[in-house]
Amino acid sequence: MATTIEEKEVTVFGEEEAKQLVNELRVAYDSGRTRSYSWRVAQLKNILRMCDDSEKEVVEALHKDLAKPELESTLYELGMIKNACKVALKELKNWIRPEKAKTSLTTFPSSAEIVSEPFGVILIISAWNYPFLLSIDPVIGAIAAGNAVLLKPSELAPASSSLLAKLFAQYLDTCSIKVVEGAVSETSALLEQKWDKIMYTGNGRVGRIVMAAAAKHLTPVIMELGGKCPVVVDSDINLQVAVRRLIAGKWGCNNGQACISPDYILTTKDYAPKLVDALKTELEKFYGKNQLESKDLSRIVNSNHFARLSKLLEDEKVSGKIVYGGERDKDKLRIAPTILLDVLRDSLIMNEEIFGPLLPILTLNNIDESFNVINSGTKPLAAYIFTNNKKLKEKFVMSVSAGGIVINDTTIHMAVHTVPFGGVGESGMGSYHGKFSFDAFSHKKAVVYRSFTGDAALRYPPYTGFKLRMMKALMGGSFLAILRALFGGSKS
Amino acid sequence: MACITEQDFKIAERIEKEGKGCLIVVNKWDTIPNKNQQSAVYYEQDVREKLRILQWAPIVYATAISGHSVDRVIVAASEVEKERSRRLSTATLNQVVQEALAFKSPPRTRGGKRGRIYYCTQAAIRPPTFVFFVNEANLFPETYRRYMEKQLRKDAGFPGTPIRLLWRNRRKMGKMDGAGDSGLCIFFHNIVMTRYDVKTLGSDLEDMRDYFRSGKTKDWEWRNAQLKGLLSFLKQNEAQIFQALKDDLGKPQVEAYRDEIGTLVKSVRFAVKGLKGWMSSNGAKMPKVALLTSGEVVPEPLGLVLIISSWNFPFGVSLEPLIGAIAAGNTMVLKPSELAPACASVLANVLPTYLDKKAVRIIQGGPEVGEKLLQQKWDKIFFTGSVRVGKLVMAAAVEHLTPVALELGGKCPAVLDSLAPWPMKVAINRILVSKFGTCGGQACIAVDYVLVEKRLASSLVELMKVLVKDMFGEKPRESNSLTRIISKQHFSRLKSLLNDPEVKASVVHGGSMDEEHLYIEPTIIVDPPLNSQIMTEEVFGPLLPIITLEKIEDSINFINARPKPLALYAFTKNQSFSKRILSETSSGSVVFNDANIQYCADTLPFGGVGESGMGSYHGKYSFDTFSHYKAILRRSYLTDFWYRFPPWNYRKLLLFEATYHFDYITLLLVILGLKRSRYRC
Repeated sequence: MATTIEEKEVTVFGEEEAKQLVNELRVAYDSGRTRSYSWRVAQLKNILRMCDDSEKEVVEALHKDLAKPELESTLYELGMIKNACKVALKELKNWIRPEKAKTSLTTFPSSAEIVSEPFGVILIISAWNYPFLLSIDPVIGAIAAGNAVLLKPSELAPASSSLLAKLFAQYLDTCSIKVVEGAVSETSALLEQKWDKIMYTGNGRVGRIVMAAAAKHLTPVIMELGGKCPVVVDSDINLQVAVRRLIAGKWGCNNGQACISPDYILTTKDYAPKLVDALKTELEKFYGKNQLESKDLSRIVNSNHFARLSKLLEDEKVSGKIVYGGERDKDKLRIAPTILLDVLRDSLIMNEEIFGPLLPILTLNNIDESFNVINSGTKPLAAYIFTNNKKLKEKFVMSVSAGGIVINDTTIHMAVHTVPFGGVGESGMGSYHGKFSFDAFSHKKAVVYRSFTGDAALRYPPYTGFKLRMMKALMGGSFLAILRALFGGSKS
Repeated sequence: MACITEQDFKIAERIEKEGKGCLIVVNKWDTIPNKNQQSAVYYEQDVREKLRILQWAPIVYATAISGHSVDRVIVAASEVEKERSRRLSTATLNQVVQEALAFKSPPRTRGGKRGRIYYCTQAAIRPPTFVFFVNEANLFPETYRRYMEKQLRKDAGFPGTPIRLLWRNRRKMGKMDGAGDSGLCIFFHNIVMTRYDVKTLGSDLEDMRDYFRSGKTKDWEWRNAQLKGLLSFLKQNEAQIFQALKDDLGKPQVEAYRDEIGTLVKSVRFAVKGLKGWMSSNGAKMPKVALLTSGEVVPEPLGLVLIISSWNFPFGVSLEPLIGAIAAGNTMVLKPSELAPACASVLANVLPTYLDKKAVRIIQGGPEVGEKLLQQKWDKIFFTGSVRVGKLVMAAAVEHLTPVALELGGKCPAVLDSLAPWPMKVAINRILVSKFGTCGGQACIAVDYVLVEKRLASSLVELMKVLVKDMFGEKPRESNSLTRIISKQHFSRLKSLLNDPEVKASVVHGGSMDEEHLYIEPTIIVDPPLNSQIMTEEVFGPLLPIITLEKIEDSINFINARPKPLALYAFTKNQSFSKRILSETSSGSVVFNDANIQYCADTLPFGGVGESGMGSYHGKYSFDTFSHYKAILRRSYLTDFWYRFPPWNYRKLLLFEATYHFDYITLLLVILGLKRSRYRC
């Protein structure tokens, strides 16, 4: 980590610099270059090339920042980015094409369409847990929609951040796509500027700061926040498969440091011991005996987060409830997969997003009680349920409000580009992925084409009773009434 | 004693009938011999007995000839006037009524039925008019009604003025309106400002949240019934809506129908028709590797939403989003603008009788109520209004990270290319009706200014003058086709725009105004200075600046140099110019060769971009605005790639890659051990 700090340029980035940067982007956008189809395709192809060329560097950077296993880096970061790029390249022509809209008798004769136009200059502030995916995935959407972009990667993953800056400068159109590295002061300088859309990935606290800054310029925002994603485990399931999927979503995703990672489990009192046993067995199969040293698990990002997680574990309400793991290595910033059983809802760990390798299990008398537990909290980014009970599935879909819901698996909805990915309530606003990314960065402009014929005098003053009757008939869409109004059959 | 004559009695009857205030002056008091304490009592008894109808009128004894007590007459008269315009808060009023009820309940009929009073509200002043909403008005006999009046006077006073008690069946109200019951007109023509007690806001909203949690609003039946209720409201109260719009804005009926009632009826019908389709989930395509996985996107209501609307289309911009919020299955609070009080009163007092009151609440009030509302937690805030307030709304939304839809305005340009005479006339007509014939230009999508080539300007102005005359006559003031300015404040704003000396010098038509009647003549201004206020702020009134350009193509730069407008209108037959406008400018919407019609298209999203707002609505877009699209993935336990799980190795990596690329051949080869990983093994 120390080396990366040295690498960073020592420039003061303040209000003035931010202003100038935005101006440059605005000039580039106003020139119209980013709107052309060829520019968009070229940039997307460059991203694809960038991912292929620099796989090694990315893996290294992620290892430096998070000790992320190579497979996770190539698959969940680069793989997903490449997929997003390919989808965009394949579909872009269709996305750009104006959508025809039907018109009615009221505006006859006319035709109408909805044109997707870029917003202008976009600010993307990304997070440290998936420094590449969460930066480049939105950039793809912004480029596909024809915007100029400024990306501010998280300073908490410094190696990744500087690599992003380097790669972007190397592969992409630097006039219209820029990277600014930095922490709080840089971010606030950027937020002072006027943007046409801001996308922020991170936590609710900073999200509020971002939105407050956006309000000053009436800038629309997309917020990808987190929340406590619940997993309901029913008892009639294929336990081994379920547990494997749970582990893949919890510890296999950056060691729990992912916004869609399962946060806690809800299961019945009777079933909990079985579940814990299965988790133990599978965890050992996956990560071996000495899990603190496992190369297949990421480490905690920094000492602040390590301290936060330690505090959650040291809370006296839960310290006696650890049934598995619990080992910590402060120097190496590692925490082993940890399971806590029978955690009470008022304990510290249940009152904030865990964002780490700790998995509390709440036990209930009846699986139906889980709805109360979930709905009494804020709306999570994702909610998962493992069950074969059809009724329970439907009830879960209908009555749990969350960004996304997966039945009998975890986190995989993130990888499906045909469904929108985004939160609701405290877990965020706006969504992206696939076409939804394109839509997130496009303004849908309604366009009506009219000819000069077909003008009805009744639209114009002076207004008379006849005009009123005629208008009622026309807007009601009843031909009989139109005739009656025309021939004076009805008097109102 | 013959001091009260038949004549006096007749006058008294008339006073009562007309609802005037009254003060009885007993004159020539000096001529009464041997006056003592008793004589005043004696005379009063006499007057009261003979003028039973004016029981409530105060009596003043005076001697005009010597001027004795004459000043008291004036004082008493002003007291009477005060009483006549006094308002009782709904809370106090209902307390009085409850007490009266507790003391003496309405009589039972032979069938055992008993009258029930749901609640009572003061509908009007001068004279104070109270509306009792009851189960059946005919269960309240005359004696009981008199008792209620007596109680009301006993507890709340009102000396010197008749008071009116109207007894209304709560259910049948709409029907009676349609029949043109004139008694009811008094009620609706006067403004009912139901003061909302903000103290109960927190608990009221909690009740609404509970109701939402009960799941009732998610049913199709519920949504459908509410939409139907809205439709009945619009149909049965047409006359009241017309009248309210007339009272607040002087809006002509044709405009009121075209822009509000008619558009709304169409929108509700569209929603009723589309509702089932909108509510159903959309299947999402899955890649083949995701065997036995199904995906869908389910729209779900957001919860409790707040709609703040504006005064220019008090029904249109209140109910259009309301339709969406209902269709999406939310519970909601609507705050209509206090600047259109008659309309707000109809919305607050009549509309709820057609809707589920547990889910839809209409709260009247000014900025202070708005502020209180914004402090609460909402799941979405939908605001229509000015940029300034829009910023406040968004800033308030930050605390709870509430998504907002802001429908603001902006200076909507109309680009007028050179056209043949006949299309030119059509184009100008369309511009004029957008500017002067749509709430007097007080519309967010109204044409704000016209861009035209210099050489066309003079002929354009001449033609405009003629067409304005065709529309509003020689004396537009007397025309019944012109909406007035909403308030004194807005009037003086417009006046100051026009009073800029340089702007005043550029006026080529109109310019007269009448502050008392809030009337401004349709005014045309050619080339006002671009830095004058009229060209830097949204005009929002019947003033039409025309800006001349060398070439019409310059309009693109002109527009791009200013904040993004809500709408852009271009009148041209030039295809390539149209294309340039479409791709090189940015605005909420673009209409070629017409203006304003995009508002009534259900199939198009209506909303701004940049300074003109965010989020869109109308038709299905209204539904979308108030829905969260929830991604649902369903998996079975049967298929699982063994390589999905750690411990990781390069073979797994390769398999994953093949899966991601949907490269089934490589997948097979690797599984069979026929292909080596390109990674270091």
